[in-house]
Amino acid sequence: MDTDRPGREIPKEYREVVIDLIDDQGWRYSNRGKGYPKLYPADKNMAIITIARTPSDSARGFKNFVGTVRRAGGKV
Amino acid sequence: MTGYTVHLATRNPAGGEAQAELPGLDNFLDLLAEYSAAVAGGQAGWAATISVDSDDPRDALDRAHSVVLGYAEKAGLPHWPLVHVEILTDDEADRELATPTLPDLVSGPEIVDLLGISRQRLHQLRDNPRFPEPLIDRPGATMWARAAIDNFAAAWERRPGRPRRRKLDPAEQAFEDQADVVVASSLRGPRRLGDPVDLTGVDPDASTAPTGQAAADEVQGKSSRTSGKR
Repeated sequence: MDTDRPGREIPKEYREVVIDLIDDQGWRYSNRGKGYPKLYPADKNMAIITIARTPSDSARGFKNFVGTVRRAGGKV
Repeated sequence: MTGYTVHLATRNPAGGEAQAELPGLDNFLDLLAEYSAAVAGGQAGWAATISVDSDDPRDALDRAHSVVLGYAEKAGLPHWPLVHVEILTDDEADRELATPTLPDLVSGPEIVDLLGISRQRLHQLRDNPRFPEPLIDRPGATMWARAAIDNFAAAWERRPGRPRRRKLDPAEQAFEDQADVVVASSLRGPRRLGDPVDLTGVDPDASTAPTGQAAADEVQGKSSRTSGKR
């Protein structure tokens, strides 16, 4: 299935993780429509991860995001 | 105060597609913004990971539970049962994140270098029940856990030269002896396809059959006579 490429709509550290996931691990990224960007795990049994455009606390928020990616099978 | 990372996950009891859109997740993420939240969801369930500060883990868990379920309802998420609750200190969560998700892997050529063996020997070793199974075994990509190879190398008794021949049990020895005699008799002269095999010296009772050495002596005598004629 087709995937978007992440741009400036998400912070740089998130972008680097997303690029690795979609380029090397079969994940998909979608930034269409009005909502927040969505990250689709390669494992179809794992739920869609929503990424905030402007995370409030970059350090802890990013770690929680990475933890969520790992729970969904991402190698980060 | 200690920072805690709390993860709560729900599951749709009626089932559903995990990657089918679940309305309300964006709003849910906005409401949890001050808790450094990460959220995921679909028609199979939804989950949130948030951070809270507290002096007590039980209090942290109670607060996280109250915040997440309260905001989920406000965001319009389905009221599905909780199926997973986890609380870690932030330090412990950081330690988990620092742990690699893949073990240290080594390929066949790397094992050849590590053990100082040939590629052929590696193929032989794979038949050894003590040799580790590869973690990844796909055409063109076979990888082992480095730690498993290190353990094997530490316990591996290496003996130079050819392996010693296993001592045969009496039945196997008798069979071998008879086979030697048959081979020896077939070497006695030129034979054509269909010629009967000379079974002289072969005793159907294996225990009284001539030994392999006797047959070998017979062959040796024959070959000496043959070479003497030249």
